[in-house]
This record gives sequence, structure tokens and C-alpha cells, in this order.
Amino acid sequence: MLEPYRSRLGSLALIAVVIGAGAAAFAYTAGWFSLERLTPRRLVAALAPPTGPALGHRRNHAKGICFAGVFDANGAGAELSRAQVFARGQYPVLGRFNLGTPDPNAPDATVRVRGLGISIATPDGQDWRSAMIDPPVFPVSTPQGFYELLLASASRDPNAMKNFAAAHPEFAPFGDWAKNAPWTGSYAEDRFNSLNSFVFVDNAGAEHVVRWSLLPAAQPVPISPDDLAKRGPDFLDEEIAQRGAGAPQRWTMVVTIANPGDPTADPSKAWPEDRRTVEVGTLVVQKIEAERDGPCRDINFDPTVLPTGIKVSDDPFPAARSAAYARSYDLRTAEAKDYPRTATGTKP
Amino acid sequence: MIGVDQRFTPLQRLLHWLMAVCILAMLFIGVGMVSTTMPKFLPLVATHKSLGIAILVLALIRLAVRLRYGAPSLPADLPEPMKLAAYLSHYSLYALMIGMPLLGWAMLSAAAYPVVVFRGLEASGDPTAERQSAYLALGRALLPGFRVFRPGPDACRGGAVPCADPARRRVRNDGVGVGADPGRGRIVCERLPAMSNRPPDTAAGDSNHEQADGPVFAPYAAPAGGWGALHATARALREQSVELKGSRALLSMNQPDGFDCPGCAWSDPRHTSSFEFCENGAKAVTWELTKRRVTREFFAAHTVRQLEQESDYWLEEQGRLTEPMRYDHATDHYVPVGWDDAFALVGRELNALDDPNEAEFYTSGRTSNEAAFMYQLFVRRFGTNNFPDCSNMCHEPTSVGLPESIGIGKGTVLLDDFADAEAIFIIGQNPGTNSPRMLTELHRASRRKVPIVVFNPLRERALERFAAPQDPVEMATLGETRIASEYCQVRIGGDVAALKGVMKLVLEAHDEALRNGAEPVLDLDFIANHTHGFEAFADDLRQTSWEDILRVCGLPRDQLQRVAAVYMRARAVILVYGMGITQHRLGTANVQQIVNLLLLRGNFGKPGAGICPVRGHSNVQGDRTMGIDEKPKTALLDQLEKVFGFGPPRAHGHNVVNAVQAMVDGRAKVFIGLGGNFVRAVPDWTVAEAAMRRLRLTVAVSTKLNRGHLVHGEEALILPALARSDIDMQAGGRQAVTVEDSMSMVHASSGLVEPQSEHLKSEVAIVCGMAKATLPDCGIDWDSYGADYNRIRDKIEAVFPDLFADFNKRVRQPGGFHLTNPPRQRVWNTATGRANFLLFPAVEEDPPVSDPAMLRLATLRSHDQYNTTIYSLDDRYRGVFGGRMVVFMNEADMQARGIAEGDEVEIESLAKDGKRRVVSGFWVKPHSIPVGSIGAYYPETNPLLPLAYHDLKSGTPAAKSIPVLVRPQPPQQLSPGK
Repeated sequence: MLEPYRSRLGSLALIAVVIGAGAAAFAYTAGWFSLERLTPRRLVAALAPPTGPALGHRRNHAKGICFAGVFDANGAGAELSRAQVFARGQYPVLGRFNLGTPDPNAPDATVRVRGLGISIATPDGQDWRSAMIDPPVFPVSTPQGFYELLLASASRDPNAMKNFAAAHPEFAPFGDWAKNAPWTGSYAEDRFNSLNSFVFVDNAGAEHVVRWSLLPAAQPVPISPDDLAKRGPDFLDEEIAQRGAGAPQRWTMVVTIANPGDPTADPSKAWPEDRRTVEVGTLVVQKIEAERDGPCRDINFDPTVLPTGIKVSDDPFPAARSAAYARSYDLRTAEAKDYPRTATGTKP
Repeated sequence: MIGVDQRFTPLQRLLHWLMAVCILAMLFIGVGMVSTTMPKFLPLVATHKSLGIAILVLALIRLAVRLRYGAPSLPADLPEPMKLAAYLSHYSLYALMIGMPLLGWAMLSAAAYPVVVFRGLEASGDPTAERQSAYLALGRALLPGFRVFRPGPDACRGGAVPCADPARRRVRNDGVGVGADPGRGRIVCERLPAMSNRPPDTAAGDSNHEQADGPVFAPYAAPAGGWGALHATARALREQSVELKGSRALLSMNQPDGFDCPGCAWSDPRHTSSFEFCENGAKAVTWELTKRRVTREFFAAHTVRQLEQESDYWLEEQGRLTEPMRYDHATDHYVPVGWDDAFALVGRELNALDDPNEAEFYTSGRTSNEAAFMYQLFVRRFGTNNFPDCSNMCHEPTSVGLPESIGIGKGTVLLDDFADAEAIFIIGQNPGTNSPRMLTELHRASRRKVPIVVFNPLRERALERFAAPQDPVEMATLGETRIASEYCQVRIGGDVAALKGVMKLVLEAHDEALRNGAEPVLDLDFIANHTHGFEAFADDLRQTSWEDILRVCGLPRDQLQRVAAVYMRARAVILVYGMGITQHRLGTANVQQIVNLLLLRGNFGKPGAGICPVRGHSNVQGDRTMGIDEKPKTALLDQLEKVFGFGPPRAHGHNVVNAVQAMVDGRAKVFIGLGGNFVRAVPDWTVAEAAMRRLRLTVAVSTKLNRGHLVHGEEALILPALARSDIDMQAGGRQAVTVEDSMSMVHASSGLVEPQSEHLKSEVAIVCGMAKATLPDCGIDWDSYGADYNRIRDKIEAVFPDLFADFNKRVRQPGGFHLTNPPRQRVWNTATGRANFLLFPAVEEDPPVSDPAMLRLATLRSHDQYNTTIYSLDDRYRGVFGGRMVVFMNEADMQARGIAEGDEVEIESLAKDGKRRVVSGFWVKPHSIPVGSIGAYYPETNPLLPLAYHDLKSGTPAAKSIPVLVRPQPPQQLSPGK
């Protein structure tokens, strides 16, 4: 059989084109042509302090303490979401109190933002994870804005923050809170907010855009940062361990339902005060454990791990957080040798 | 270079290209995913995971195929190093295709992500896998050793914690919902008691709760149908030990050459083309196909008194009856009897009666046309019209009400109409449980964006959302389709008020349109040319006050407004209804109000429009067509006289209520039941049971043991019959029977499974045997009909020449044929020659009750129930597992009575006859049901229903609106031992 003549050069060119086009498409997809793209890698790198990241630790909210407890659902949430976690009942919770800092050894009084991560498991095998913080609004309205905030706050340029605030007027309410809101001397007295909005899907398939908050049962007692500093660098951990050993600590979970037209995609905007709220249950913290070998250490409180009946909304943050948390998780689990695993060990 | 026989097999090439696409896509998705923080990150990750699993599965299949079929050898002239490189890349490609997905999986597990492969199927590697169905086992086979790993020291969170029964019970008592299936994985046991809000004495230590057969409540989040339905089907098959045989039989169900599903009377899509079965039909068939047997040894081992101690569920669980049995007084045992002796006994007892009207001849809706025809012939030749039948208890208001309105006592739509409907209304009917195949049509309609309006007191999952098990895309993507676009939770007894509200709004909109010179809303031509009584009807509507309407139906006016808008927009409307409409004191009038709504816009006799009563039993409509009718039409009797040459009795006979009354009064002496479980199906059964025990003879033609066999007369026979799925072999060869579905389609059905015992006889043969023994010389050759059912069909044709012309020929057409239905041609066989607008007095379907604590009880069937047959104690769509003594209540009604979830209560009927009717030991489940309305299962609640409480016109028991009181159970009954 005679093979049709074909130029060898032509064949090679064709192969080169196919491979070249494939490689180019791949490189484009990977973002190698778009250096401005906010990748999880850049976002996580920007979180690191000038001295470099604390190896083996979460890249942000690095200081924290684990707890175990239950979520005691009162059944009222079942009207909004078909997730089993809202059916009346008690579901086990793993969680973590934390401070919004990349430094696991930061003194408590130096960190303005506190957080709470939870993972609630239901008998249907599903899991609801949520990582909340105590400010009433998020400082910025987009992940890009958050990246710029990180760059500005790390910048040596004394005007960096000023320029940032000018470019991001949405920052003002958060700035106001950071400056003026009272501090407390205990995690148990803090209110934690999802800030991001999510979608609850009820049994009939109807969707409700919501945010949720955990309201403390304990009465907040204001304390100045200076007084807090006097109590010791790790006072919050010690305090909650002591308090938790005495009696279970409780937070009421309140779900706020957006009205049509509310800013659901922008966590820097609070919703009007009159929005309908539903109390769906109580978080009961029963047992406090050090993070070191505690059950929360290896949990990624990825806010997009949601049960059937809860979905992400048009809020761009949960996706960005999920991407960044995954990156952080990959890094710190690969650095396990740098993490002080035994109770006697200290950070190298 | 590679010859034709030197190629990979087509399957291998297909797999190759399929995987090439998947893997290339995976590369791009992967690299795109790790480099973005945009919202698309989430769908990319989700696709990445499912594609990874798909690649793993494909790779394993590919490996198996590769091992089976091998590969073409490499070209001989290839240099050795290149050959080596080819082999190595080949192997490493396989290793990567299998290894990479496993690696990804391991990473997810290590990070303690919940890995949900299918909704409802958590990959958790728990030890109770045998509880899972064959479908789930398949998933597990593909994913060996798969489990979610939970790091951390917390034992209770560490994966599977199998909960023993006491723990589960404790969980229930804590008010915490947990599925009854302990195989569901991470059920948290240890921690709950400490958190209990309840006093400790209701926790695990309370042995009364332990032994009580208490149900467990757990919400069911999945849509109706879907994987849950397949799971349930597989479980039904396995539990009856019929996996292989059953699967084959299921494949033949509702197929052209197969048998008709005995589960419901919904129409089949053209029998030729598609295969359709449903979960509950599968349960009905597997219930017949069970391997278990009730033999003579069984009866020898148990006295009737002993059997009476067992539950109805247990009795039916014992399996199929295998030979004729006769009750023996001396020993209190059923003992074997020959067929001839049995028939002779029937003949003797019937002929000994003073009056043929002293015998009652019950028919269940499962009876085929042929058996029903011979039965009515036998009974009328014997001399009575006493035909209580199961239709008396469900759709008699349809049979009585529709003829007055439109001239025929049947629905007017065909299955094809659903494709043309522009709106579908469903009132008082729960298709998910009672006629699941209807969901196929609703599913399609919903996909076409056809509005579906539901009126139902309870929220029923299948009316909310459905995943079609026969839709591969929906199943694979775990999709679902909403069913109801408007769900009106009408109060029990408020349907007519709601209907009148909607009609009033339509009328108001029409008047408004006329005032504004707009298009009329009503179909004025249709009303003028085809109806009668519109003006009086319109006046009545105008005079009905909104206050009354809204008070009785309990729905907000704006919801009725939306419903009216849907109705007015649609050019063709189908209205489906069930026993939620018929089982009321004014059930017949209810049915007629439905007709009125349809008449307003000419929704008869055009494609996509009409009325659709959904029947339960597969041939309940056909039996009536065949003449199972205690008030036979003169035309039928004249035809019988002409064809068979005898004078049939003309006086009206007994329906169910009359028959029970006749037994109570001692006027009835013999009861013959062709199928069914009469004593459990009737209201007020304590009365009926006592009366039946006084009869001279009771005969039960049955497939399985049931309560009716234990509640027997002086003489009693159990005659075991072939089931619908069994091969029916007679002297004239293998026989088929015919049935008529809810849409008047008549088609053949022939069994495929070898009968379970040589002693079984077909219903036709049993009827003919009894007839021959009773009326040996009546001039009817019973044997010849029993030998060849074609002869019966010839006679059916002779008696009904219009409906059944060429019966034997037409029934052999694939898909059967449609019985003439005059309203489809806008022909009205009514007294006025037109369709009639009939008035409903005011808005109350049931007489008001003065007691302010009164609740209206609707009796319901569970998802795992078929009339009196209980397949299991679960009702998963309503979130009930492992028990049936359940009352569904609104939380406000519970609070008003100081009742909490899981409390035990008793229910007392508010009858006016001075007789106290109470049932107790019911657990309360808070449920989505209107205030003042409650639901509970029948037959458990049948004792609450007085015999005299029935539809005034048709005699159908008003089982959907029993006025009752509910109160906490008196404590002494809770702990009888203390």
C-alpha cells in the first residue's frame, strides 16, 4: 500500500501547532498569562507577616483553641432549610475559638478580630461548617479588596492605609467598629457573625437568602485592651478553658432573612435592622481542649462545606475563602513536622 | 499498518475516547481550580471530584475489559526501546488513571471532608452494609473500604457508631430524630441523654417505652421517588427473598405481554413502547411473589385463637396460601379440604337459605373483568343484587355524582391529555403513595412549566418534589423536579369552600371583564350549548360570603386569587382528585363542585382537559363496568336476561354499609369475599367483627392470610387464588384476563410466574366452581367458561355490545382499547341531556360540631401500605419509621392540649349515637397540617368511624373527616405493670 506523500516538515508543524495550542490553553487556564489574577497562592502569601508564615499553622486565625459540644436545634429552622441540622434535635459539634492573626503566639490584646469555627455533623452523614468572626461587617466587599487590604496593612508606606481607605469607602464601618467597639475578656461574651450570605432551601424548594449569627448567653463585660493585656498574653484561652470546665457555654443561633434587594453579595454592608430573624437553636460548648492535639486541629473550617438545604449565594467570599483555606490547609499539613504536636513541645 | 483484526475492540475504543475527554477536561479543571478565587472555584471543585470518581470507575472497567479482550500487538518493526517505552507508558497510564483519583479521595478523607457519593448514600464504610440495598451494594463494590475518616479523639464522632435498639429508642424519647435504619452511619448515641431536656425517667431506663412498638420520627429530605424509591424496591425484593424471580417479574409488569400491576389503577403509557413500574407496584408484586408459604402444617401448628393474637401485619407476612382450608370447630384449626368438597359446602349453604338476599357477595377491586362478570352472573342467577364492593368505600361518590353531572360515572381524561394540559389541579390525592406512576405525568408537566395546583391538608413530599427513577439524567445528577407550583394546605373538610372561593373569583373576574368590554373569562358558548343550571349556580356563588369561604377552607384569599388566576389563564385544565374529596358526608356533592369548576371554562371534550378521579384498586372501575353494582341499571339486567335467558333480580341489593347492617341485624347468613379483607376495610369494625362471627358461612377467596380468615362464621373456607403475576393454566390453555384502568383503558394481563402451589385456582375457576356447585342445572355451562376465558369475553361482548364490540380482537391489540366516554365528545347522557351545574348547600362538607376541642381526623395510608395490606411499618416521606400508631398534628393543637412530640394519646370519636369509640396508644408527631386537622393511619383508626357516618348519597364512609377529641393517654395505661 502506497502511503500518500506528506511533507515531513508539514507534519512536524502540525504536531507543534497542536501541542503549542494545547500548552497555551493550559497556561492560560492556569493563569500564567494573567499575572494580576488573584490566585489562592497570592492571597495566602499576602497573609504572612514580614517575618514569614508560622510553619505548620493556619495561615490566618492561627491562634486558637478547640471545643466539642452540640448544636441543639429547636426545629424552627426547618421552615427555612431542609438541612437535617435544623430538624429538632441535637447534633455533635467540633469547633475552634480563634484570633484573626497569622501569628499563633500573638498576645490576645493585640488582635482585634476574634473568630469561631464550627462543624456540625448530622446523622444523614452531612456536615455544616462555618467560620464566623465578631465584627458586625466585613472590612471590604470583594476578595480583591481584601487582598489590597492585606497589601496595604503590610506596606511600609505610611500612607498605604490612608490610600486604601480612600479607595475603599466600604471600609469605614469596619474601621469604626475596630476603633470604637468595646472589647470583652472572654470568647463566651462575644457575638460571632457569618457576615457572608448563604441560601437556605426549604422543603418545598423555595430559597431564602440568609446570614446567621451566634449570640452569647453570657453578658458581655467591656474591658480595655490594656487591661486585657495585663491579664496575660493567652488569657482568652485560659479563661474559656476555665469557664467551660465549670458549665457549658451557650450561644443562640439567629438566622436573618434578606428582603429582596438587600446587598447579599457584599458582606461589608449590614442589612437593615428590621429584617426577619429566626432563632434556630443553641450552640452548647461542653468541652474545651488545647489545639495542639485537639480534635479541631486538622479540620479545615471551609465555609462551603454545607449540607443539602444550604447553598452558597451570590456572595463572592465563600468561594474565595474555600480556595484560600484549601491552600492554607495544603501548606500546613505538609509542614506537620513544624507543628508543636506534644503538649511539652514549644514552637521552634 | 495495523490490520482490521489488529484493532482494539469497539468497546475499548469507546472507553479510550471517553476517558481521553475526561482526563483532558480534568487537567484544565484542575489547573483552573487551583488558580482562582472566583465563585467558579466551587463548581470547578465539584466537577473535579465527580469527574475524578467517573474516571476511576471508567478506568476499572477499562482494566477489566483490557484483561478480557487484550490488546493488539505492537508493530513488529518497532525498535526495542520504543516498544519498552510504549509498554511503560501504557502501564503508567493505567496506574495514574487509577491512582490519581484514589489519591484525591484519600486527601479528602484525610481532611475529614464529608464525602457524599449520592445523596442518601454516605460513603461511610459502616459494618451494617447488608442493610443497604443492592444498588448501594453496587456503589460499595466500586468503592471498597471507603469511609470518612474523622481525626480527633472524640469517639462519638469517629465514624460509624452502630446504635443498638435501646439507644435508638432513647434517642427518640429525647425528641431527637434519627433514621430507623441503624446502617445510616454516624448516629450519635452516647452524648444525648446528658443533653436531654426531658426528665430522665423517660430516657432509656423506661422499659415501657422499650417494649412498646414506638415509631421513630426523622425528617426525610430527599425528593419523592429517586434513589430512595429504588432502595425501597430493592429492599422489598430482598426481604421477600425474591430478588431474581421478582426482578424478572417486575420487568414484565405493565408490558404488553405481561401482567397488569395490581398496585393501582393508573393508566399505562402505550403498552408497546415504554417500561414503567413504580416502587409501590413493585411492593405489591413482590408481596405476591414472596417465597414464604402458609401450608397445612402452618395451620396445624396454630389454632385460630392463637393466630388472633398476632397483628394484621404478621398475618400477611406469613406468605402465600397454598391449598383450600376449612375451619374445624372441634380443634379450632383450619384443616385441608378438597376443592370439590369446598364448593359443595358453598352450594349446600347457599341453597339452604330461605332467601337469596341472605347472602352477601363482596368483590375486591383486584378482581379481573372476567372473574367479576362470572361472579355477577352467578350471584344474579342465584337471585340477589347484594354486591358490597370496595368501590363503596372509596369512589362511590364518583360513580353516583358524576352521572348526575356529566352522564358517566368515570373520569374523562386519557394519559395523553396530560401532555396537552395547561394547568393541573390535584385535590385530596397523594400520588406519591397511592398512584406513583402518575408522578411521571406530573414530572413531565412540571418540566413543561405547567402550573400544578395542589389542595391537600398535609404537605406530602411527592406533591412537592420528585426525582423520576426512570430519568437517567435526573438520577445521575441527583436532580429533582418541583411538583406543586401552588400548595394549598386546605383544612380538612374545606375543599368545597376553597373550590367555591376559586369559582367565585372566576365569576367576579368574568363580570369585571364584561364591564370593561374585555374578553369573557367564562366559556359562554360551552355554557350556553352544553350545560344546564348555570344561572342558579352563579346566583348561589354570588350569595356565598367570603367570610364563610375563608373560615371553612382556612386558606388566605390571596392564595385563592393566585389559584383562580392559574385556572383562568389555562386553556385546558385537568382536575385530579382522590378520596380526600369523596370520603366526606357530602362526598358526592364535593365531586359535583369539581365538575362545576371545569364546566365554567369548557374543560371537557377538548385535548388536555377533563376530570380525573384516581382509583385505588387496579380493576375497581372495571368491576363496576362488569355489573358489580348493588343498584344495577335496567339496561344491564335486560341484556343479561336476553343473553342468558333468566330473569335477574330487579330489587336493589346491599352495599358495604347495608351488608354490615344486615349482618348486625341477623338478616345475612352467608358472606363470600372475592379477594380483599372485608372486616378490616369496613368502618366500625368491632361491630362488624361481632356480626360476622354469627354468620352461617364465611368464604374468603385470598392469596394471603388475613384477619378476615380469623373472624369467621360457623362454617368457614379459605380458598387460595392465583395472583395477577401467576401463570393461569386452564383446560383451554394459558389464560389472560382483562382489566380497566382509571382512564377507561381496557387491556389484557397474563401472569408469568409458575404458581406457588398446584392447589391454587384462578378467581374465575373458583367462581365457576362455586356456581356449578350451587346452580348445577341452571343452563349455564360454568366449566366451559372456566376452561377458556375467550368464551367469557364473547359473553361480555354480547351483554355490552356497544362498549365491548370485538372484545376478543381488540384486547389483543397492543395497549388494549379505550371504552367509549361520551363527555369526551361533549355528549351528555344526563336527564337534561346536558352537563349539569349542581348546587352545593353552603360551604360545609361535614356537619358542624359544637365541641370547641373537636379536631377533624383524616385517615391515611402510609407509603408502605396498600389498603389493608401493610408492607412495612415505615412511612418515610412523612418521616415515620418503625411504627404506625402515629397522629399527625399541628403544633398549635398540640400546645393547646399540653401534648409534646412523641407523647402518647388516645383518640375518641365524637359520634352522636351514644356509643363510645376510643383508640389509644398513638404517638404524636408534629406535622405540617392545618390547625384543627389531624391525620392517622387506617385501618388502625377504623374503629373510630361509626357505620352510619357516611356520604349521604353514596354510602361511602366519611373516613376523611371524622370529628374526634385527642387527649394525653391516662397514665395507668402507660405502665400497666406498676
